[in-house]
Formats: sequence, structure tokens, C-alpha cells
Amino acid sequence: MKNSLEILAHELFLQQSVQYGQDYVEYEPSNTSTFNDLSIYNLEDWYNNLMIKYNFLNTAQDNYLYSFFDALNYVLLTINPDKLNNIKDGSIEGTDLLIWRESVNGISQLIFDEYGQITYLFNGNDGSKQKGIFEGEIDMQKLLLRFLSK
Amino acid sequence: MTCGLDYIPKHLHTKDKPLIEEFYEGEKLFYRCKEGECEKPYNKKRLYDISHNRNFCEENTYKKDDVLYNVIENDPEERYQGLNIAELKIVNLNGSFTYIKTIEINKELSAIIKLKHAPIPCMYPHSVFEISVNDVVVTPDNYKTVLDKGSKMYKNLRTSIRQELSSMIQSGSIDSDEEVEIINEP
Repeated sequence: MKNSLEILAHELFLQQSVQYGQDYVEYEPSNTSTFNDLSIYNLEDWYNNLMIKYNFLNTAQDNYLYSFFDALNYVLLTINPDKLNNIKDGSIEGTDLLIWRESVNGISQLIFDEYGQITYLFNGNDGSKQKGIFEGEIDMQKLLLRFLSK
Repeated sequence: MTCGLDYIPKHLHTKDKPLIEEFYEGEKLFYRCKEGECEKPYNKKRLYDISHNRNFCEENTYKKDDVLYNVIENDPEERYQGLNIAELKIVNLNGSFTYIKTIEINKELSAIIKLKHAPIPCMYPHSVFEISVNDVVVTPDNYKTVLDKGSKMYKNLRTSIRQELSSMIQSGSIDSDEEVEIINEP
């Protein structure tokens, strides 16, 4: 049985194949592919920078962030990262880490808050909205799939 | 309500004009924002000073860039420079006289977002998204004690309010029927 990371990679491949057609078929993975400002080489730097930049993060936030990084690291080695949109970071209320990305459909957000919750938000450009609040044992791979899929 | 700012056009002075509680489908609101904030609005903003201009469906009289007038007295800047304007169109009020959205966290905690006409002396079309928590209107003075409480419940309430407001700016539309789809599993 495939694990959820394999499913994630497969689904992203299918989405990109449909979206980018011939370009995607011709794509050959290389170690220098960039995820816009992220790259496979410097993903670890990105994670370390987050830990320095947002040094207010508590243990729960640290753990979730590492789990997110771990799942993202796998995905970046498997798909064409050039075809994904920016992932950006920021903070809200001084205590929450915000990871967000914008696509043609709208804006996806993951908020790692001080209470050990991860809140997933999606605001569609058409006015549609989704929200999920998770804590405890979170399947980060599935959450990453949701975050990257829209 | 007397306006003492000479550079504000007379038709924008409130003077004896009436409060218009009713908003209209098709009416537009204009929100002044910094570059980048229009796309990712309200994320960092405190949730009490969310003001807009309405246009009463009179595009030629109440223009979009009126929202750039500075209505603060004794300030040398007449107009805000380098800011963008987000435009929101009211598409559906679901039979109500204005936009009213209830956000319920649980039986003990809920908030209401209500669009209200709130004229000030030098800006008649000034309007606000008024937020009340358990029937108490949030203001700059009570923000800390009413909405900015340090608990998971209140954090989730603030997040939900921000999502409602940012979604309106992002989509450019106000629709009372648009509901949040709740995701229970990642």
C-alpha cells in the first residue's frame, strides 16, 4: 500500500501534467531546481532560518514545523518544484508562524499557533472558504497535500 | 457634524446628511491598503479599525479615490500617497438590509461582523465592519479584554474573523450566503 507521501507526489505529478502539459513531460529533475526562493539544496537553510527568524516558537510549534519540513523535503525531491508557486512565511500576532502560498485558485495558509494547533485556511478567489483546525497527532503529509493541491 | 478641512470636497462633508443604515446589492466599498496588504489583507491588523468608504451606488458622486483623503485634522498630508485601493462589491445580502455574519466558536463564544454606515464630519460615506463578541462591540479601548484574550478559543475566533474579512478583500465581493467549509481531517 502506498504511503501518503507517494500519493501526494503522484497527485501533484498528475496536476502538473494537466496544468503544464508538454513542458512537464520534458522536465528532467535536477538538484538545482528551485522552489522559487527555496531550492532542494537550501531547504535545510530555509528551515534553519525560520527557526532563527521566529525564535519565539515553542516546542509544539517547533515539532510541527520540523514535521512539515520533513514532508516538504520528500516532495521537493520527487516533483518539479519550479511548477509550484511561492511558499512564503510570516507571523501573526507575534506568536504564530504563518506559511502561505498563492495559486491561480486562491491563497492557502497554515498557521502554527502557540497553543499547539495547526490551522489550515483556504480563501478562493471566487469567495469560497475552507478551514480546518488540527492538533495532536497530525498526518502532516496529508495536510501538506491539502496545502499544495489547491 | 462640521468639517474643518478645506480640501475635502463639500459633497463629502456629513453636515446634516442622514445615516443610511441600508446597504444595497451592487453597491461598492473601497478599502485603502498598502501594497501587498490588498492581496494578504488583515493578517496582522488588529480587528477594530476596519473602515471603508461606501458609494451608495452613485459612482459619479462618491468616487473610489475619495478614500485616499486624509481626514485627520492638523495633519499636513491632504491625501495618502503610495497606497492601493481594494474594491468590494456587495453581491448578495440574502434579504437583509446589510451584511451580517455570525461566527460561532461554541455555545459560550460567538462574534458578529456587521457592515455599518458610520459617517464622520469630513467623510460622509465612511463605513465600518463592526465586530461584536458576545454582544459587546469591539473598540480600540476594549480590544485587549474583549477579543484579544489569550486562549485557544479566542485565537480561533480571531482567525475566523480574519478569514471572513480577508476573503472579502481577496475576492472583491461581499456575499452573505458564502459559508466556510469546515475540514475535519487533514
